[in-house]
Amino acid sequence: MISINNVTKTYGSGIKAVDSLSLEVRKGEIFGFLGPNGAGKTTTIKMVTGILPPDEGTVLINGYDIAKDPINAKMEIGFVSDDPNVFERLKGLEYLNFMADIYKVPAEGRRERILELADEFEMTNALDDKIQSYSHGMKQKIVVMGVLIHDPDVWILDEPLSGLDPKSSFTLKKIMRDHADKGNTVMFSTHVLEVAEKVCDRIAVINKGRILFVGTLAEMKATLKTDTSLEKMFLEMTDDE
Amino acid sequence: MNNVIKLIKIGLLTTFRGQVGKKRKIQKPLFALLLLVAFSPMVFSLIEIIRVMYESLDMFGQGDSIIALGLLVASMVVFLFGIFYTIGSYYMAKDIPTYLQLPLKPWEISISRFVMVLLYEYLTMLIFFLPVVIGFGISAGKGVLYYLMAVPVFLAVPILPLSLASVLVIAIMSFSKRAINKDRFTMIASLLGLAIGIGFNFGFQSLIGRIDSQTGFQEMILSGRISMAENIARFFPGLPNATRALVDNNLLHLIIFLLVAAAAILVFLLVSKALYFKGVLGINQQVSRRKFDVKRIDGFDSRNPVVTYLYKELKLIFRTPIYFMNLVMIDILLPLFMIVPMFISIGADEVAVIKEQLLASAPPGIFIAGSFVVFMFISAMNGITATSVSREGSQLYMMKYLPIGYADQLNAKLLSGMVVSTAGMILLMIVMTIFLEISIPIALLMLLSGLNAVILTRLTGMFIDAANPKLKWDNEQKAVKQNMNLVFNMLIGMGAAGLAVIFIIFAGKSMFLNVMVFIIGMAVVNYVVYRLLARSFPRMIERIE
Repeated sequence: MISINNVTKTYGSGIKAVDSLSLEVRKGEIFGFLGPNGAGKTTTIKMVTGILPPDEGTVLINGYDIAKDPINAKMEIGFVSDDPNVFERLKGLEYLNFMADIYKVPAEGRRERILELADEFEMTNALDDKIQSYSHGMKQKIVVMGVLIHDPDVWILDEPLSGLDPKSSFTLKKIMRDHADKGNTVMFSTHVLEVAEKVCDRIAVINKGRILFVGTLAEMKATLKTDTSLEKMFLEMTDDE
Repeated sequence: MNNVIKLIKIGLLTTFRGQVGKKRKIQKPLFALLLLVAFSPMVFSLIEIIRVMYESLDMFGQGDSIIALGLLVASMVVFLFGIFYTIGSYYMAKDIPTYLQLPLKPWEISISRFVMVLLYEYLTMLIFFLPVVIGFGISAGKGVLYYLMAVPVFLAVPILPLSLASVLVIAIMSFSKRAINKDRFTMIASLLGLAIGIGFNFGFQSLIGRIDSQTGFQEMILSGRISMAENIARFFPGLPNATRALVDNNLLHLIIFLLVAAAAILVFLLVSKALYFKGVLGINQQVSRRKFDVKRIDGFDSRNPVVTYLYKELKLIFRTPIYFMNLVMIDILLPLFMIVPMFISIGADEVAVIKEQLLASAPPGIFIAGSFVVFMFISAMNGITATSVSREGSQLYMMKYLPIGYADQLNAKLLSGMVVSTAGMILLMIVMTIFLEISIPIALLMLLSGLNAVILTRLTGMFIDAANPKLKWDNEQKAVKQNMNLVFNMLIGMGAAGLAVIFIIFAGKSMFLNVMVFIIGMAVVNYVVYRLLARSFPRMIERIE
């Protein structure tokens, strides 16, 4: 579970990138984080993952405070950044083992897990090549595999589907669903409203650092008293601001 | 030609833009002043050394050989650096693939790169050759004409060795297409270039040595019948002419020297026209995928997070050619490449003389404190920790979200620097111990003293880099070579080395006990610096946004 309580972040220029944001992402759900460019999605994700310290407020990951108990909180998280250019001179296999060591994945079962994931994402033949030689989509896949290898309770993904081929995209969505169904938490940001519409149990719309809406799609339709697509509702909401 | 000028302009812009002082204009002049203040004592003391050397050589009527020696050293240094610079600039730079799709001729790209490297080499020349020109000019009481002649000589000296380095590199790199591991090929190419260049020089030296011993050359030099200057200068074509041009203000020799330089450029152009694109295209070709052997997985054990982090650091350093050349070679191979040929070429008799002289004049204490100075110098040149946070670049966020404490990350990063530098130090100590027949206990104490120097520079480097890392770079060269943190750490290292020299002077002849106190004192300093660093490192990393 992720609880974000009254979190604020102001950048040097005095602009509040995130303004008293509170949010709860529950166990067993896929939570979509939507918003136009520069809305504060990535800043929020950075604060949740411990990359940025918030100026005010707290973030709890399964009860661990990311500021006060960072290591335990981070152990609960699997994070996929929007920039997959990680340690390019490591081989895919070395990267997976690095992540497994850092997240203290026991040696037994690791081999099977790697082969299973590689098979699922069709990466087996690329495992012994350097990440540098991968295509954008393959890099994305190896990062996702690096998260899945330690099987964290809480998944946080920043634009995870961009650059993935249809099959990997399908696989990832399926894995996200399975993970949530097992009682875990999945939170991801996206621009692609269709994905949010199909995959998410609940969504939040954020603009200019503030939450405009949190709830299910049905609740959103009820609030706005329309029966149009998410796209239209999203545009209506963010335009009003 | 128009294209060449445009390429140089763009190259210079992308190289120097985004350097220090972009935010505040005041920083730039201040920074230049700081550099000037920091380096001028070094240049002045070099001029002084040149003058002393001149006077002692002049007693045998061989004062002119100072100029020849200066030309030779400058050419050697330009050649050595040239190998690294050219590989980085001609092949590894990220903008090279962009030029490949433009309608440019191979020689247009290569000559524009040549000019950019040449500009770098002129900076090197300022330290290695300018003091010689000035020191000699003052000692020999030269007039205006000498300084006028010195300008074209100064500008032309790096051309031949740089052409030589470029031609070697371009020739070797033209085989890159066949290499499966391009990174490894590039690193081997740089080593091969160095080895061929030095081997050639070494062979040439020993050839001359043999001729000399047959003809009683040394006697002839001592009697002043043959100029030692000419003997030294003939290692590189044209250098005897450059020597004559400066010593006698001889215009004809100057012209010959300039013609030699022009010929060198011509050879470079011909070779790059034929082979440059072959190498560039080869190095940028995608590697074919191999089939994965499942057994490969069994080679991995689970490791402690700090150990796995350390391995990651070392793998990235050893596999990235630019990092390997700048952070590993400079510590391990360069000292060996410079010292071993020197010991071998000057011959056993001379080594014996040097040894005797050293032992007679210097108590062991000097060796021990001296090794602190030498290793301080070598390790300060290496930015392995002074660029450690900078090298993370846009991936710095990984340091923050991975569940491994900042203290552990700091230790792993420091250890990676220690491993490389200590390996280099031990290698060099073994060579020195063998050649100079240093006793084992003294050698061990020298190691201990050197270790203190290495630890100190690694700590200060990390401190500087964590405080203000250079994270915005688009090619690795900018992270490790065009990174001012390296220079700042170098200055600190030189300051510490200076303090050690002062200590040696004041400690006097009965210094063994003092040196022990010095080693223990340095260990205490290192401990304090480490504690301070460990305390402020997490805050410094957290602050970076």
